[in-house]
Amino acid sequence: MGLLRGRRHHHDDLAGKLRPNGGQDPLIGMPPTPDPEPEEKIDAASHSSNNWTTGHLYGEKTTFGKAPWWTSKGWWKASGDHEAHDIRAHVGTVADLAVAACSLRGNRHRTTGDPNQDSFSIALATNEDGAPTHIVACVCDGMGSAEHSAFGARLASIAVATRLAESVHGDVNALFVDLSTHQKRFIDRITELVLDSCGSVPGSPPKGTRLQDLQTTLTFAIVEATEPLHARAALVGSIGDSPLFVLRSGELELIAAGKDAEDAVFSTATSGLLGATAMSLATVSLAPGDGLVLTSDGVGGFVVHNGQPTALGRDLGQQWRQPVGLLDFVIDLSFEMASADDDRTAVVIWSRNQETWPQ
Amino acid sequence: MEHAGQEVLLFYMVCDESGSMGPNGGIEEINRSLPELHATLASDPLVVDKSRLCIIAFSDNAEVILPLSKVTDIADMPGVHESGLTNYGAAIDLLTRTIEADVASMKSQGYKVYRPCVFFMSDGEPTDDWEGPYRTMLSHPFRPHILAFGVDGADPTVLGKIATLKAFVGVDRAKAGRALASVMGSIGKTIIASTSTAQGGIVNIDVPDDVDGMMSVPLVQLDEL
Repeated sequence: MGLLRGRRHHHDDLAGKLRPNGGQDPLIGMPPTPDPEPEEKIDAASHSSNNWTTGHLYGEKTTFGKAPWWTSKGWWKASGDHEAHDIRAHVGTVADLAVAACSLRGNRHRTTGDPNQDSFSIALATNEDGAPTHIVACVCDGMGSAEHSAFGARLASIAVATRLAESVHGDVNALFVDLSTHQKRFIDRITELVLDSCGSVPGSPPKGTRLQDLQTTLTFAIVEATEPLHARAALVGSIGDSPLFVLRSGELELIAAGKDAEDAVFSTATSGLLGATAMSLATVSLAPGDGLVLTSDGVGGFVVHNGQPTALGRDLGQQWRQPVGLLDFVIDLSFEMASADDDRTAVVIWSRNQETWPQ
Repeated sequence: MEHAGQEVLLFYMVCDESGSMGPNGGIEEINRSLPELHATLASDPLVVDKSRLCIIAFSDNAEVILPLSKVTDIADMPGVHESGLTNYGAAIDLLTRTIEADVASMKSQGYKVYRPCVFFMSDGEPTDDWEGPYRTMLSHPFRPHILAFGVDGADPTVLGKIATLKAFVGVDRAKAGRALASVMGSIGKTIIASTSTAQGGIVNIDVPDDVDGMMSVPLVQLDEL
């Protein structure tokens, strides 16, 4: 142990120097200083450049928003996976419903060269005449700790959407009762389908891959696709932390899953679909003009904080008051926010408002 | 709140700069390694966007030599210089107060704050009453995870009591400087790996299994004293 008191530092001054224009947080007597690059909102129209990688900015610019993806720093790596899914998107209408879906590879997987571990699936239930009766949407968020979760999420979302579309007939309340009663059997069947796909589907992990290496969350919605005069029913379900919202009058209302740290520090556990024994189920009534928003936590985890919508949540709520164009939807999900580095997926199902939607 | 909903990981380095850290090469090694650590962290985009670093140095007293900062906002890393005794209590007390203020500040700006992670480094036995401040820190809602590293004359049992995740001591007292170089490298790897896995409220502090020139020592519950 020391006995001498000497000069404080090997540098000329007494503490580490912060960059003169740095964005130092206002802590312990340190006054806030301006960010070297001022906040900006990027207009969708400005994205004609092939330099585009990010959308609207919230807070400070991120590394990914400061340089093109082909920078020599190599922090945006190509994925060797057959379906890296930097962007995967889909829009369409069914009866009086409109649906937009998009999944983006997150910054974390860009830096490691891994594929997007989120996935979504859209399926239609039809009647005996082949006319659509329901739309089924499913979002799966592969767990980061699972080596093959990209594949697990992809297969699980297809399996769940397909199976639900086959199972729903007429009123979703009947399916609610059926699923509530037999949910473990339903989950076991999905788990079995995903495990059986290993080694038998091109690009799949080898046969015998462990369940925990494929693990994924699940959020789904089944919405009546008929043309009701008033409200229509939707069945929603989830396992894990992929949040689900009702979009009403330009505001997002959290109705399932998600997490909102109210404890001293931020910490929650996530459960997975594969091998689960139960799921959360609920029915929701959608009025004309309402929407249902399914997200992975790479999106849903950043739209509400302490029970209040964030700036992003407010913007998305307003932007999605009614259906948006395909590229606009992609840009909406490409928001730039420090720490929002997870993969991002959202599916929005809008119920037509006869008064405000174009004929 | 400008940062509402953003996630942030806070890392604290607590460096012994007591008088004995000069002769054993510890001071020189820390001062040589800090700029390297800074360069390593600043080159990782996820660390830059999602973490903050603070450095506290202690001897007779403790001082925040780098306030909690985004690594790209740091133009010049601070240094340490040998000076006085090895007062763990002063360091832990300042660490507790600093974490309390930092977390409160970050939360007030809207950040979702992960439980902080502390890297505690020393070359000697404590020269003050540290257990009282330590108990106070562990009873705080913002109590951090702690990795402890000891070289030269550091007491493995004491470090085992301070650490909550893992403790290491140097295997060769004559090579304290080299061991600290390994420690600094491990700190960089831990920060990068932990930041890259932190997601949606879950973070696994990537504790190194091995640190070159160091051996792991068992953790000891303070209650067992």
